[in-house]
Amino acid sequence: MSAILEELAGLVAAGKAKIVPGKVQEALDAGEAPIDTLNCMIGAMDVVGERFKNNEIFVPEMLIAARAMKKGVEVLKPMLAEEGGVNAGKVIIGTVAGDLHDIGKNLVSMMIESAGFEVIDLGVDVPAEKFVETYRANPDTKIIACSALLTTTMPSLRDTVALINEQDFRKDIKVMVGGAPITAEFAAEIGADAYTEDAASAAAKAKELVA
Amino acid sequence: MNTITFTNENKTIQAENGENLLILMRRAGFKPDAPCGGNGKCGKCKVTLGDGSTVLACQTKIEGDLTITDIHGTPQDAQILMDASIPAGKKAAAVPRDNEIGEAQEKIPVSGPMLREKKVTVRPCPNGESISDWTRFAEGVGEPVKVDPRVSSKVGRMARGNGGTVYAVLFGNEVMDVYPESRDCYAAAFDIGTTTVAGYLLRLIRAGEEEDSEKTEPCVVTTDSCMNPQAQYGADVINRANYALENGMEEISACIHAAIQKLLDSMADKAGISTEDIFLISVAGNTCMHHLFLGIDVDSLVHAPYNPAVSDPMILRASDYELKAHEKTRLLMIPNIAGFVGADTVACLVATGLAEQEDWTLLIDIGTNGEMVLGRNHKMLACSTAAGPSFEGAGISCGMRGSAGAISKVVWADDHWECGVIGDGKARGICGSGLLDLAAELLRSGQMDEYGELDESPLVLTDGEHSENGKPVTFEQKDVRQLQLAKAAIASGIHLLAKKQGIGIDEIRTVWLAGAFGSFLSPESACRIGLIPEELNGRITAVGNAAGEGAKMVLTDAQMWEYAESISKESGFLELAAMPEFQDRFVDELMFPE
Ligand code: B12
Ligand code: FES
Repeated sequence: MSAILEELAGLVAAGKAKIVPGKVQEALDAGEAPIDTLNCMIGAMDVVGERFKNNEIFVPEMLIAARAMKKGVEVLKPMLAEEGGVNAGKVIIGTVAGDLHDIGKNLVSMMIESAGFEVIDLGVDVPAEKFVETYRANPDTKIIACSALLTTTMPSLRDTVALINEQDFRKDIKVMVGGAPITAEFAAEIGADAYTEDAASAAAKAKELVA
Repeated sequence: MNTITFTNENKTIQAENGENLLILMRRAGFKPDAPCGGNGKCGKCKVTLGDGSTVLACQTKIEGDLTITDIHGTPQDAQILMDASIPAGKKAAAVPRDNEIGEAQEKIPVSGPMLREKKVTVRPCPNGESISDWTRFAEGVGEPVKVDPRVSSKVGRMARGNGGTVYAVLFGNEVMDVYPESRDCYAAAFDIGTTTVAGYLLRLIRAGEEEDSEKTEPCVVTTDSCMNPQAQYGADVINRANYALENGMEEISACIHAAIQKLLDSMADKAGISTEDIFLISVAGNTCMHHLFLGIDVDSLVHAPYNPAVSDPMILRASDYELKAHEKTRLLMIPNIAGFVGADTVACLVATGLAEQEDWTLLIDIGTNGEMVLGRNHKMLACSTAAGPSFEGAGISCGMRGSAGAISKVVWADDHWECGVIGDGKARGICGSGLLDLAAELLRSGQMDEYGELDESPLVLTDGEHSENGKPVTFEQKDVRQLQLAKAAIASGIHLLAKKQGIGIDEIRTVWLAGAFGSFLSPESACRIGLIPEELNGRITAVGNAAGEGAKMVLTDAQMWEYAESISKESGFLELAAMPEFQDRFVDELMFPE
């Protein structure tokens, strides 16, 4: 990797949202391909995610880094669109009905976005039907991801996945679930394709699922 | 049928294929520790099997005969705080009632003592007239009373055998009972916490008081406490409620009724009285404990928008809730404010008189749910912050509740840790107040940065040689993360309450910490780590078990009972989950002050 990209990766990881856009421009001006610049930032976020997973950094640093990444991507967007983009696919994400917790879901959403996906975030307290409707409006969606943070909204997660599983498009998508009370066993029991414990693994898993 | 053998406990029971081991253990009468309610997340329900392997009981289905050699955990004990130390100052004032009590409600006295004894002269029935015993008794009472078949059946004969005099115990317009002599009359107050239950036995009336010129004040005769037996169904209110939703209310309600009965019996025993002399019972508890006690459906409580099934104060019959005291003993249920701000908070407000303060005052009960109220001059706003159980040691690698063996005080002495241990024995783990001290000292000595990154992880507080069980007491990076989540939740709540009340943090003059944790923690450490904003350092006072105090107060004075109702209706509620700015604040508060 060129020195300038290495520098960019460092700035993203450190969450320097103010400097990152300028550095992206600098890299492009220096002849770096937009796609390489993007991949450089994705790589930086992978490292951030890994450090988060190992408890070395926490929510604030991760959010700061994700924000910096986002700023950088904004600079790249028009160019990437020209090149046909690097879109890894669309992901629909939301917190299930009855649950208003969204900090964890937002982190997952940002990490998945950082991994090159286009994310449609439905917010919190999302009725099961809404996931299905959103898919119908976006049939190129690859993954539906649902979050639940309360023991008492686990049934709601179950219902949501059940409804998705009934759909004719089920074979075309993967369903991911997560949130503090969820376990891999529960995910399997309700018929989801994947569960991960944290946002970094969620992004890695998403990539794996569409590969 | 399979045979399940618990070798340590010397017990075998039969089980069907597919039965869940955790449920089976409850059925066998053990009280397994299951903080996460059997979700397979907390790892506390671990048992060792005959083949030496360990499994999670909640994730184990019976598929054949099974031998369990070791049940590792039973719900941990906690220190139970009975006393309150309410700062002197302006207390609750009488509030004029604007609305009449509805027909269905019991009429309670408008002012004065809740329970009264009256010496009643029952005039003999004149010959040739046929005036009922009850009518002549009621005349003697001299105020309108509700006719009561049980009392009327004995009052005539009792009066005749007693020179025309009986002593009536009155609760509002209700005659609880009549006696030939004046007697001591009692009441019991309960603070039903998620973790612990505190009971107080009060003497409201002293025998012969009416003849005495001096009136004796109600007093606490004895107290008792126990762990909340519902803990076996989950550590937090959500898991309890979830258990009730999945398995019905009966079991979980019955076990708290039984615990209350046991406390009633033991307190009566200690005081040398009969439970039949206990005429009133008051209950303060969070909304979930309140609902589970009454067997009220908790569905609405644990799904958005999290409203209680009922908030109003209620006067019920104790006998309807499996409580054996006097046949007519009344159960006074203190009202709730919102789904996660319950009767315990109302009781704290009654005890402290927060509404009467002229300066902005913040009351916080730091616990799993972190309820708080910010107010002055009857302008109150409450919220609940879902801090999680880290302050009770859950989710912390060497965490434990504040009971014997817990490190509760920590100082960094330049090159080593000096730890104060509850009970002065050897350390076994670290409790909430120890965690706050530790984090504060780590920050002070530069061993942790404001993002919460430790220089060294795990760090050893007490090595294996000096600990109780030969295992070192350590603290790890992931523990800091749990602490950050919990402290950020509380701190965000404080900031958003202040914002909604339109004041700056600095305008809060007084902070009252209610509950056991609030009494044991060091306010300086709490401020150093930003659990409580640093500006408030020096303005913090622990008020002890204010909920218990409030529960006692509503028993003694009718005005206080009414006050509880008006306070609960006056207090506003702030739903943090519905505030878009919560996340930003929360993320900011995840960091430690520099
Ligand atoms: C912050 C918080 C709140 C905030 C929420 C604000 C918001 N906008 O999200 C507020 C204060 C509003 C709140 C309210 C409530 N809360 Co709350 N809350 C918490 C708290 C402190 C932290 C949660 C959090 O954000 N963690 C940080 C994030 C980053 O972690 P995370 O959410 O677990 O997400 C990670 C993974 O799970 C995973 N993940 C998450 N989603 C997904 C999705 C997919 C697809 C994948 C793959 C992975 C994944 O990746 C994330 C990042 O690594 C926890 C307690 C704690 N210490 O954990 C309680 C907690 C979750 N809350 C709880 C409760 C009970 C409530 C309330 C019902 C009660 C109350 N007191 O008011 C209300 C209900 C709110 C509602 N209507 O839904 C309980 C749940 C208990 C249980 N057994 O279910 C907890 C555990 C606290 C407790 N023990 O009492 N809460
Ligand atoms: S893991 Fe079994 S009860 Fe928590």
